[in-house]
Amino acid sequence: MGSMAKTKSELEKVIAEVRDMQKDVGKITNQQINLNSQLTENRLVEQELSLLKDDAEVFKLIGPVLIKQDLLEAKGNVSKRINFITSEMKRTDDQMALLEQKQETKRKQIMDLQMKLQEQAKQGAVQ
Amino acid sequence: MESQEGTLPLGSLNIEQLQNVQKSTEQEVQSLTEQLTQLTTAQQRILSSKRLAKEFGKQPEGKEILLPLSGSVYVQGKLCDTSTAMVDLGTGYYALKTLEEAEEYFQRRAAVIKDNVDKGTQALVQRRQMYEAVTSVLQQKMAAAQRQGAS
Amino acid sequence: MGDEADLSWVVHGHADEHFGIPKVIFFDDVEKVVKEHEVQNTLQNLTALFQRYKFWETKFMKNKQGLQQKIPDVKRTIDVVKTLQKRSNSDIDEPITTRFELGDQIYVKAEIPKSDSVSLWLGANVMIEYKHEEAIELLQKNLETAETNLEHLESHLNFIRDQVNVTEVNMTRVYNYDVLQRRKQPEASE
Repeated sequence: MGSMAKTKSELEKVIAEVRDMQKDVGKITNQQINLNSQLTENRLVEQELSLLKDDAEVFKLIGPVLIKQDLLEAKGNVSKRINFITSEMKRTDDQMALLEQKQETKRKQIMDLQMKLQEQAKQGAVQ
Repeated sequence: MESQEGTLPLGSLNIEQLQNVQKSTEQEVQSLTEQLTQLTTAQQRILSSKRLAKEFGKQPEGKEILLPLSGSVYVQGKLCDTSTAMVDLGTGYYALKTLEEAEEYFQRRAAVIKDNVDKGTQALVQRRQMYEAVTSVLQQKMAAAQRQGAS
Repeated sequence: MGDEADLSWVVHGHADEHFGIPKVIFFDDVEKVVKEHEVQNTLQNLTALFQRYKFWETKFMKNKQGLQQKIPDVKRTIDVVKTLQKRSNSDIDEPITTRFELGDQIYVKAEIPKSDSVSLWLGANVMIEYKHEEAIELLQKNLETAETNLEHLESHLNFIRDQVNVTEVNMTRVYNYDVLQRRKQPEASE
């Protein structure tokens, strides 16, 4: 019977770990949503900048001040930003995949422990 | 996931599973409805700005106006350039455009949003249908279970 | 049935109210309270009171958020008028050129000639022209009122939070007392 208690506490521990992982999954999902919307917005700006004539005037809002930008420089900055966001998205995707893998392993552990618990209960009952 | 759910035999699910599916579909319907509302609001704003760009060009230069400076403060002023507008492109970037170019810009934005609205509406309709299907199967099963229990 | 709305014995009198919000009585002697008012009745009343407090809390939180948004707006407006005032008092005669928001995402140019007055939108379709000093005075008064109201709201919210705690403690103690009594009863009847 003592071993049952041990298995039970192991089980509870793993369940708690899975729960924590779920929280992390939530966090990463939020990051992904955020990055996605930033990407969309920046892509729109990129498109619009490309439609401008060469002598068009662009400005950037820095704090409360609107500052004139060089069109080529602006295009470059937006492009750099898009690259950064894309690489961040890849990073979070990888993070997410890793986390899901770990969760799978833990879930299998839970099933194994649950079966073990059932076995122990049967043995205990027989005695 | 879409095709899986489309071919998911609802009849083979038990009551508890059906209730779960019902709940999750209900939540999806709610969040899709919310998204759609946001999109249509954005759409209205864009179309309104497009109209303003068009109308503004008809104003005479030098026209006296009361313009807002911040919060609820207005001052008297004169229009001094009715051929250009500064347009907010997003991510903090602004571009000086002619009114025509501004109109075209808003038209482009409106087209993108309309696209999203259409997709969103489609998804919403689909989810609603799913919800209704699950609910109906669930009700049937629950009624059957009651009859069994009664006998 | 009249007990439902009758919270009079659960709270202190008017003298202890905080701006009209009643102060809950802390049940020192749970046994006495239960003997006089019975467990069910007591818990019902406490729950009703608890819900009222929660309702007030939500309402005040909303008001607080509204004010927290409004106050920086008013401050900014005051700054704008002060800037205009400075300029009109200076020797600069040229009009200010600016771009104002014509609509969402679109800004157009306008010239603002030297002037000693502004128009304030007061709401309810009313806009009034004020000299700069008058406008600043009015806005300052609004700011002070808003800031005072915010302080009041904070104190209301603190008071309510205390009352909620005491109410919850009362409920727990009454409930625990009841459980204890029920456990004793079977022994007593045997």
